[in-house]
Amino acid sequence: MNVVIKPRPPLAARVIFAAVLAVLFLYVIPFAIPNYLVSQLATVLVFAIAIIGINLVTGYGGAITLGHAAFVALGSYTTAILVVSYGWNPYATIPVAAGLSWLAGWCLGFPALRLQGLYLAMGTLVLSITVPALLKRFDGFTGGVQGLNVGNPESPVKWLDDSQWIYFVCLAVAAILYFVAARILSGPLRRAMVTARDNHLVAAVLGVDRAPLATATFAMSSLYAGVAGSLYAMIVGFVSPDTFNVMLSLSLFVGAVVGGITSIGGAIVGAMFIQFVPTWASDIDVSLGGLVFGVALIVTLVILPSGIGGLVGRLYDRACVRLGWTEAAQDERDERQTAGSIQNEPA
Amino acid sequence: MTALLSVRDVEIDFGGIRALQGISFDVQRGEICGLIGPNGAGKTSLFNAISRVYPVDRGSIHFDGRDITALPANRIIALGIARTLQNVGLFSTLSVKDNVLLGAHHRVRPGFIKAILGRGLAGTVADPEAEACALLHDLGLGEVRDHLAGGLPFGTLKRIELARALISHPRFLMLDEPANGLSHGEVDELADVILQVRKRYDLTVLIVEHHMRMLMRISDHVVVLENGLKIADGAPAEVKADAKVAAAYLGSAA
Repeated sequence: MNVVIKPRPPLAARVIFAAVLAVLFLYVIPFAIPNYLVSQLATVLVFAIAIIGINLVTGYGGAITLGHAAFVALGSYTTAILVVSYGWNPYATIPVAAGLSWLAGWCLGFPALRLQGLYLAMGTLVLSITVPALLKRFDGFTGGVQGLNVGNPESPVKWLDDSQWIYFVCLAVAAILYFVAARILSGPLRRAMVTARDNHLVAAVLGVDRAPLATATFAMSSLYAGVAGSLYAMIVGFVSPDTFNVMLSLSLFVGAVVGGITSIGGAIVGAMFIQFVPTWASDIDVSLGGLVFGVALIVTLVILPSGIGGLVGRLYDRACVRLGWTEAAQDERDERQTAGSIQNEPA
Repeated sequence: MTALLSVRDVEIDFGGIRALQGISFDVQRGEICGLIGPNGAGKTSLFNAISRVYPVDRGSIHFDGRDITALPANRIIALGIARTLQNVGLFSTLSVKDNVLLGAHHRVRPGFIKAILGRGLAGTVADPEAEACALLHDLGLGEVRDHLAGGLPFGTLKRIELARALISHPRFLMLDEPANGLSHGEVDELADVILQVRKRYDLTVLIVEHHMRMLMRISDHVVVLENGLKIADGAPAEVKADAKVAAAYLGSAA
């Protein structure tokens, strides 16, 4: 029978795991690898944020969106315009970008989520096609084809150079947004989302109101994209309309699928994939970049429908079972101990 | 005191086919009402109309004095009307306990802000977990609490669905063919379970069922439909003696 595995590794294992992660993200990446890679890994974190947004709307909302680049653009241009035209502190623009993209997502999500399946995919695809054109058209505001020169924020800390500094900024924001997503996708809200996604009749019978839930999910996912865009503008130091084209929407989607569409931990794997793999492939052959995307998408869907994140999750569960690191095993041990202590009591 | 559920002249058309033709009946507080009829009689249509899954073309439905005829389906459960589904609407990728907890959705009312800020670091929204466990235990499902719902036997799934309906704190429980697909022994057990939960949770029950023997045993009141019309309404013994009912089920002599 299929028992749900609830891994519960002992404290020591959890501490070691956290320490490894901390060393990797706080020391190895910022200090022990070549400098140009540091800002690329900052970009990976930014992609991961955007991909978590896709996990929310596609993985749990059940709506295919190919328009994520539009919200990334909104976040990027919010930061760029506020910094360039109004002289804002770049960090102060992050919450504004978040708020604006949330609002845009809510406004667009309201009608868009009434479109089902393929129609939503097409509608959001149109959005990604339109946005670069709009950005070019309103050039008085957006700088048109020339784009806007935001500049990289300078490191306020003496022992961190600019790319290390922006990496830490991205890491902090990504960590916060990861935990926010983890909380959204736990407990009753996660169940309600799964219900609304998988069975409309049951959702209605159980009192799950799908429309507001879907709109809120879309808005939250746009917020993630917007924050990613804002940080992206700071890393690159420059925004231009053609960065936010359909290809960006598609690569984010491919990243979400490769990482695992319902796995927010897998988002970082998907982000690494879209950041590094096409470049490596292009080094071998110029035309290979696009091909790799297509093949990766198909291979993942056929062999690993739950993505790399899903695979790692399964392996982890299995390892925990083998090591006896599960809630069920723990309960059994507790029981045995209690039983033992009762027997030991003097008669 | 008025009836808990009062259906008046309800009609439903499906593109020219009149599924229900002016159905009226009442369900009194605390009773078990059985809804029977041959295939295609309109039982499920009526059931879905009451739980607001189907729109009603004419007539009215009142629950506890309140007109619910035009209410959307997702508002029904908060009024205290819980229903099960004929083919068991459970989620195979969720654990049995999580499936049951879904029934408490309208009590918990999870939203994004609640989930993110929740109870601070202690976690997100509080689930009525203890209640779910107690319910599962009461229905003899304690053993499978942490199993995935997918792959469990059909009789077990029916009980899980019952637990999911009960955790919503209903006053009115609607069961859609609960005995469908169960073995003889399971049907008798189910009948006992229904009688027990009615007593323990002070419920009024409406059952759509093919299984005549079970329905006659547990119902206080039976409504018989045929071809979208009500042909009988009364105590089980009266209905059983009704010539029209016998004709509908056995075919008329003429």
